[in-house]
Amino acid sequence: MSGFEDILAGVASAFSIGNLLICLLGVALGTLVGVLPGLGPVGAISMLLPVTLMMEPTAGLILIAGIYFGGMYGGSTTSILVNIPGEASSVVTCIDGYKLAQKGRAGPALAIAALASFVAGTIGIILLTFLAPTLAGAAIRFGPPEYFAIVLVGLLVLSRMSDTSIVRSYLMISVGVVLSLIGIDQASGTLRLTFNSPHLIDGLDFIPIIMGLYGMSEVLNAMEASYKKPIKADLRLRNLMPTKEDIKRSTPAVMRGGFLGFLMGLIPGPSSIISTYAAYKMEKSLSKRPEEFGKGAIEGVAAPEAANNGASTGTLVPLLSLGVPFSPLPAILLSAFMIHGVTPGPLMMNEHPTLFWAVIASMYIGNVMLLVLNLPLVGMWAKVTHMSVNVLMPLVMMFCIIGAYSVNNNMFDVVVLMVFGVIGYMLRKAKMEPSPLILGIILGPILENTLNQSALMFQGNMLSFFTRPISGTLLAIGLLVTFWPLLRKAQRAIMGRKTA
Amino acid sequence: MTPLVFRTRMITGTLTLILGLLTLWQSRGLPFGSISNLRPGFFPIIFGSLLTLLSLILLISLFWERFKNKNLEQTPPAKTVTSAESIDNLNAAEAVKAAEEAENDDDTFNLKGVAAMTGVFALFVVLTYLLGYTLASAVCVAAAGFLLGLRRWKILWLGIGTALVTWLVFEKWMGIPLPDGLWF
Repeated sequence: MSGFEDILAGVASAFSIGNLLICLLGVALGTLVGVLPGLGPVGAISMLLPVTLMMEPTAGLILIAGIYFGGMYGGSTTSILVNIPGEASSVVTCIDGYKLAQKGRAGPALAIAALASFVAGTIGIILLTFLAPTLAGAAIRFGPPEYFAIVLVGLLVLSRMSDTSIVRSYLMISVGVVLSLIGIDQASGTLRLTFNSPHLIDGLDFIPIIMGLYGMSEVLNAMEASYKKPIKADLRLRNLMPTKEDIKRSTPAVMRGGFLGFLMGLIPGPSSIISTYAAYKMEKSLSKRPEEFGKGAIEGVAAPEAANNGASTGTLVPLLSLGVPFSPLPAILLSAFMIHGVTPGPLMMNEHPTLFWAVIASMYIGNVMLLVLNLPLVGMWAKVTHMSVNVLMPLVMMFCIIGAYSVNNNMFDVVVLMVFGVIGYMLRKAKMEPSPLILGIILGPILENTLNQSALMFQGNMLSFFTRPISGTLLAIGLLVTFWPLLRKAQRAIMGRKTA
Repeated sequence: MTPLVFRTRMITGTLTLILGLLTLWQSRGLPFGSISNLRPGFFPIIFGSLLTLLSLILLISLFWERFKNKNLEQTPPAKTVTSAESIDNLNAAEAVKAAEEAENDDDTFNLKGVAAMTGVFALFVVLTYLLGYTLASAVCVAAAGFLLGLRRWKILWLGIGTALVTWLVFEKWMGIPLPDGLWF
């Protein structure tokens, strides 16, 4: 089949009745978990991963992609109505969104948030459609040294971004890599770190670990968390309409936020969080009315929501074209692809062209569905914010247990789930981010395999990494990122001595 | 840094130190190989050492911080996001930290709750072996609902409803074989 025919076959697959319904289910579930207190898209996707195993790969991946995009929309509803971010990436939306709701303008704020998400999401998907195949075409020539460099730099840059302490980040990555080493070594067949336990021979499955860290820890946290009541807002369709002034002020903010978010999504790290701050700062500095920011400026809702959606799409570029995730959510998406026997990366478009284009087409469809779900039906989602946590969390717990059990039909995975639930709860209290641990588990085996292959290629001369332009440049960036704080300190010390 | 953050980081650092040492102990018989031919022991030894070293650095830095600020409550709090102005002063890592603080600003550790929920899990594992998955889930969801504040008939409905839906959806519809239990 030619390239164009592949695209058509993918689009036709996405438009089949079954896949349209799955897409609708995915975006609705995504919006639901975005709105629900506590449970986020990472927890929801990890909970549903085992369920998708029962589905055909295209349908399973469309469901996961739907939840991914839906979660980004839903987070803004609680930010605006309750002043509690559904997701860390919705924190900035709280500042002006909640102020607008207090002023009786919750409807327009929610409408602008949904429109901003839609426009930025669409821009992001268009850029993804063109950029991912182009990058994959270039990456097809990559060898193990390039992949090793990409994964290593991804981990190093992520750790600089996800915590203020490099020690805590590297510690979490190391824990993840060590956990990924448990079981049979694929290259030699040797048993490693099994402690003579038969349960550990096949290694630790990452699904119960992710479910524990993100799902069970929420159940434990729910025993003490207090939940605020949402602002009562009249969210009938006629009250949602933004004014001409709102649209005029929001349009440039959405465009700038969307592009900025997409570009930041290409960089390793929690870009969907950082981009919201960057977009907010940028809009405030460009605005003719900066004094309104923090008091209910509509741009203060439009820009971060657009940036969040742009970044969420941008992070899919390295995942789909290189097969390397740069943050936890794409890492879980990578695992979703892999459990369906599809390896994202340069070869994916040749090996599974229909599936690739069906997933991309479903993103366009899902984005339109999300606009419909989040504009006329926003009142329904607002009611979900009233849902009782003490009913929700036991259900989350049961779902986690079934999900963990069904991976290998093994109660040992349920025990792993609980252990990592407690660890996730403790990390939360210690204000330590678990996402480097997840990336360590998923990227650890890739790091080991590519280093082994590179060592064989270079016959022990590791300096050869620097003789290849791509791996050399990437490793130089990695070294710079790691030693940048030390260089800055040295620079300050020298400057201080000069001025003295 | 609050006393809770200090304590939980100490526990985390101790656990990762134990994991690092166990990794090194388990890797002692594995061949390390050479730079041209990496063997199965290479990664466990490198990352086990890294884990041990980083855990020690974390623990020492925590002790050092405590030594410097005897009263941990007096140390400056993390930057938070409460206003448009506060955003101007954040760098990327601080922005991520502030976002996570804002999403999760509680500062208590519910040890009894965590222990009770772990107990529910242990009970679930035992009951699954004895009574089977469906009945065990009914009992344990009800128990979890109780721990989360549900009372009276709501607990009963939640337990029975969850067990029924679990059985219908997962066993009957999806065909996941849920364990039957020794007594059935």
